[in-house]
Amino acid sequence: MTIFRSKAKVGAGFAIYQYSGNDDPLTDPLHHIPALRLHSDFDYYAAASGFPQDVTVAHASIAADTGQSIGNPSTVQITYFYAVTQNDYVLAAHNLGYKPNFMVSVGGVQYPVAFPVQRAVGGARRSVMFWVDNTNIYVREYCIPGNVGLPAVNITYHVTVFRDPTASGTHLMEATASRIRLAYGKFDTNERMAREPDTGETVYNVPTDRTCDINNGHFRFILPDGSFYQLAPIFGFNSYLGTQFVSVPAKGIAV
Amino acid sequence: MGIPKLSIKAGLIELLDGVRKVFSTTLLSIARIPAAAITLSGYNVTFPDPVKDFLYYHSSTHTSTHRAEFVEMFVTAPPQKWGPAGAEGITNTLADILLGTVPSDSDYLDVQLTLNSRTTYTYTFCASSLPPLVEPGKQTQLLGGSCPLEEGPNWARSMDIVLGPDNGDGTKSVYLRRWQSMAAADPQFTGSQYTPQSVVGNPIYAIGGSVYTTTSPSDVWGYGSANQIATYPTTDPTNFGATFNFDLVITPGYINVGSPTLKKPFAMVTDQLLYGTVPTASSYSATMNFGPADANRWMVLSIVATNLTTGTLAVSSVSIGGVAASIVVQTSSSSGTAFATAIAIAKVPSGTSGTVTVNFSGSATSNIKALGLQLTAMYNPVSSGPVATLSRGTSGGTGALATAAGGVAVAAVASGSTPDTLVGIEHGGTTEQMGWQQTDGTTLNIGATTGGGNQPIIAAASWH
Repeated sequence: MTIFRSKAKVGAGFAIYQYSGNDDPLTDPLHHIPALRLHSDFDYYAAASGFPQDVTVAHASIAADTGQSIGNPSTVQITYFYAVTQNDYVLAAHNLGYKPNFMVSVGGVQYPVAFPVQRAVGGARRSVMFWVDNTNIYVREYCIPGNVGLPAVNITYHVTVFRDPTASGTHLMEATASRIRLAYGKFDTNERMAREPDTGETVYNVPTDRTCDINNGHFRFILPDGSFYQLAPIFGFNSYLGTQFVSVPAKGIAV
Repeated sequence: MGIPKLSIKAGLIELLDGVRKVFSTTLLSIARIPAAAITLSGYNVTFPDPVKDFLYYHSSTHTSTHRAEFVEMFVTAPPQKWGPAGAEGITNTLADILLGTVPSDSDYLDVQLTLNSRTTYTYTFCASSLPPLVEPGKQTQLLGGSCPLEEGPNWARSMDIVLGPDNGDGTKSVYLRRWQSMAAADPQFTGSQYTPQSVVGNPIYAIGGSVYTTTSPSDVWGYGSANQIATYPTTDPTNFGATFNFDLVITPGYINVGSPTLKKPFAMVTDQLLYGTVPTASSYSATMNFGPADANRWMVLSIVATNLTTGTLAVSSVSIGGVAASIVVQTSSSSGTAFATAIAIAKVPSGTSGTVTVNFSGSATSNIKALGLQLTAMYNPVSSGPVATLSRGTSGGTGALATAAGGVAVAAVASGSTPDTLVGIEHGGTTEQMGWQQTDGTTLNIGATTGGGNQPIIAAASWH
């Protein structure tokens, strides 16, 4: 049986760790990370109040581009349809007063920066980036409508904002009839924590390696669920060092 | 939510909100290590000017009274890929930048990024400045450390924040890795584009004028005795380098990623070969890349062949990696000149490259003037039989190709005149003659436009 020890020590904080005959995980946490299940010096992802929540955004249609040219129209001219339209949509208000960590997924999959959520013929696309300020979390769209335009589209985003992970309490453990706080408030029964999923919980994959490949002048996005998207054929396999393979390691978590 | 509970049992410590486990020694909480965070403010990341060349276009007209010479010059970026040494297809090395070290047990990086500014030097592309993909002044988070930065029709730049291997001293290094890639000519958007003959670069900037004469000049463009000669530079005035300035907070963490299962994609293009003129033969062979081997890998070959002589031309057989392929659809025409398109598939489990052979039949198999081959690797398809095929002759218009969600569609177009432009399917590559698209179940209405002459013919197929 694995033995876990819960211990606090002045100057070392509080920890719960796999016990192997000494308290090194408590006193020297940076060199015993895998043994630790909790250490007050570490930060954990606690969802801010009101999160996660599902938000449906009605992305407006984008008119077709009329084209931009270089060269001489009487001889050789190259015309590109590469005008860019950008818009911001508020996903949710968090009102935390600082710029928090967040996680946004669509259909259970997180999207990397500049991921094309909508594609149309000829390489037209609507790409998104999520960002935060002190009040809100936003989705910003970066649209290249090409010469075909982009129809309006509704996308439902699963939004989780995480609060400031530093200690929010002063006690090693606090308990009332309706609430228990552990490790100076880092774990709180009033909050949802990001952790390995329990049976039956919805799983979100968190990638631990690159999610964007590049070749042939184009991007290829590799999502944590193993799927990938590219706007033009990218020859070859990927740009990963070591192995020629298109995938990304990911860890399933639940919030 | 019920009554909160802290439970301490033999081998198990748990904190529950009454229903859900807030903490459990059996369910690892995702940890970050703030003491080891790397914070960089106003950090500059520089991308060099790509390798460039000039592209010249020259034409002349003759009338009874005058002769006109036209010359245009484009600054081009030949195909190239910049990144760390050892990565696939690198032509120019961009060394990793060491940002700092983190504890060696870290297996995860939480990266918060704000782009403060982008400095460019000659960034007017087709008279418009392309904004960066990351909006300046906005704090975002990088999934897997990847950050696409900017993208043009045929070029892209990105960077990654990556965790290095164990240094053996209790630390791992954190690197910033830069990438930039330029493809050959052929903007990926359809429209009025006229690519000069023998273009090998990606035209990115027009710097030339035209030479116009009304007397009898030399046949050599730019000859100086004419009545009017426009001047044009002969040195590159452009610099497409860029410097990005970031604020970065990189916090290492532990997520116990272990050894996850890596998934192969369903389908991807692995190679494309284009020939202006092929040898005099009724059979053509080439070595092409196949992609990663797999017991259930199927290779799909798109074929375009045009002969500018009269006669008939058809694809009679195909082999891929020594395996006889099934031709699932093909079209051919002898309307004026002979041209043909075909899509073929074979199960090729082994090898990362191999020989592709296409045999032609008909009276116009010699001196084929344009041949294009595009190879797509497809893994674990639901069926090797296509969801649908499309064969369109010289009637013009569009044809419907049914698709399935999570599948792939390929198309090939040919005619007796070029350029042909596929419409109704995402496409790319170095011509507009072979299309490719991941499918979502929506029917594709595929057609083609042409520079003139015969109506193009189309062969297309989809799988899932």
